[in-house]
Amino acid sequence: MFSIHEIEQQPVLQWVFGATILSYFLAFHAWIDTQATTIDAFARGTHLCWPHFQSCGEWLFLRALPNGYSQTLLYMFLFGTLALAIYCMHKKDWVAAHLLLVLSFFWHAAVIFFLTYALAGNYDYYVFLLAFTLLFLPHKEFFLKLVFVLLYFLSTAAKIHETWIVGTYFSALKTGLPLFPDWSIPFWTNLVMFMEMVAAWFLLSRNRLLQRAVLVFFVAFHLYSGLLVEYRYPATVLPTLVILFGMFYRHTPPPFDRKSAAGWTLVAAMLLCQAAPHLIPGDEKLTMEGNKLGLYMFDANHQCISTTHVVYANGVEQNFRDESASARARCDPYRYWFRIKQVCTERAAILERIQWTLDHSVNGGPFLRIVDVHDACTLSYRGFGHNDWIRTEKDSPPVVGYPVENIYE
Amino acid sequence: MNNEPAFIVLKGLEGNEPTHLVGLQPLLLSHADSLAIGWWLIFFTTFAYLLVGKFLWPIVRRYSRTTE
Repeated sequence: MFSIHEIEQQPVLQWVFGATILSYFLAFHAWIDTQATTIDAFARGTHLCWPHFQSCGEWLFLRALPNGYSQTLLYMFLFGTLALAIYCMHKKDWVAAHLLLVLSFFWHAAVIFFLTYALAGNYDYYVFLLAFTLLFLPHKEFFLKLVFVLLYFLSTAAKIHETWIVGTYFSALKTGLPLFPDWSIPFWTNLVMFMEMVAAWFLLSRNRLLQRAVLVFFVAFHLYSGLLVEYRYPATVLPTLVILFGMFYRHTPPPFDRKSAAGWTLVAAMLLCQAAPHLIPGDEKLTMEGNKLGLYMFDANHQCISTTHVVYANGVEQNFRDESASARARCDPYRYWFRIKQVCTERAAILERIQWTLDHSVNGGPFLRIVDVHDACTLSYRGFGHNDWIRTEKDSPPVVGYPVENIYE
Repeated sequence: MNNEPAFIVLKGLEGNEPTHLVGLQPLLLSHADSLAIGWWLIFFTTFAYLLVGKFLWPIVRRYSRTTE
């Protein structure tokens, strides 16, 4: 079942198994103290659900320190299963190792796709897709390689934008593109697009020279990317890259037997998910609608200002202003709306309305007022389509100002 | 929601086009839409070549062999 015999027979898969364990250690290390998945976040209204599962808060059951320790208990249990999986690898008991890793797989998938919208980074999509392929699909070696290259290829669908064509993501930053002069930014950004879109496929090539040259490029690229994204993304991607395309590389012909149908279905699902944000009207970089359904890493440099004017039934009024100058904070109108919605629900008896504006600047461009509503409490949000209360670039949202260069943190 | 003091500095509206563009960027920005079309062409050409040449064609060839 699940073609575990492939893992038993192929050292390349055994090494990827180890790299996947490392990825889960890194993910859980980042999550063990988060409040995002706790019942306390739900009680405070600070939790954040996916648009397709907006009632996720009712399913949260953990408590993190200082409120409780069930979350640390769960993660230390998973730590134990991962450590035990390493022991089972040493003993060559691949069925037991597989079973133990499946526990981490399901918890990780549940967190990033159902329990919270706040923790799913693009590197989690890598972990999920590679682990799914390794744990459950037949023809593991071929599909691991294809999924890996497809992730590079599909990531460029989010990069075909002024962000990377002109390089405004980086020139809008105070610190610019690390190590390189500002004038060279468009050269590097377009080179990365070409390498991910076209050259990445040569990772699957029989031509040894081309294959190795592209591998060296991507190793250098991931090491360089760490200057901004730090350890987790390179540590998630680099080991698997080197194992699949360096240490154990051999040309693997595509399988077309009946068993390969599951792998090809996964490939089709990846294509569909990446197409989703492009099928929703409006520039997804501005509206963020459908943005997280596909890969979105470094898709645009964001800054935003959200202002709310809260009017209570007794006549009291309050103003709140929330700003984000960090390029990587996505300024998703949905996130702000979800928070406001919690306040509306919690204080329904005493609230009259919440007036809300959201100004969004993309890649150092003007702040556009993409949301301006009289009462945010009356709004709803659709996850798989356009929401009329979010203005697209075609609605000519008013310009409210221009930003200065911002920061990456 | 919080009420922290503002740290985003907004420049006024008068004559404040983005000033962070350097080197070739103003030129590229004015042609960004055309360049995007070019990139999409490369994207779909690569995709079509791989889909047809590397995956669909081998399936057709294999099928035709088995029915000979």
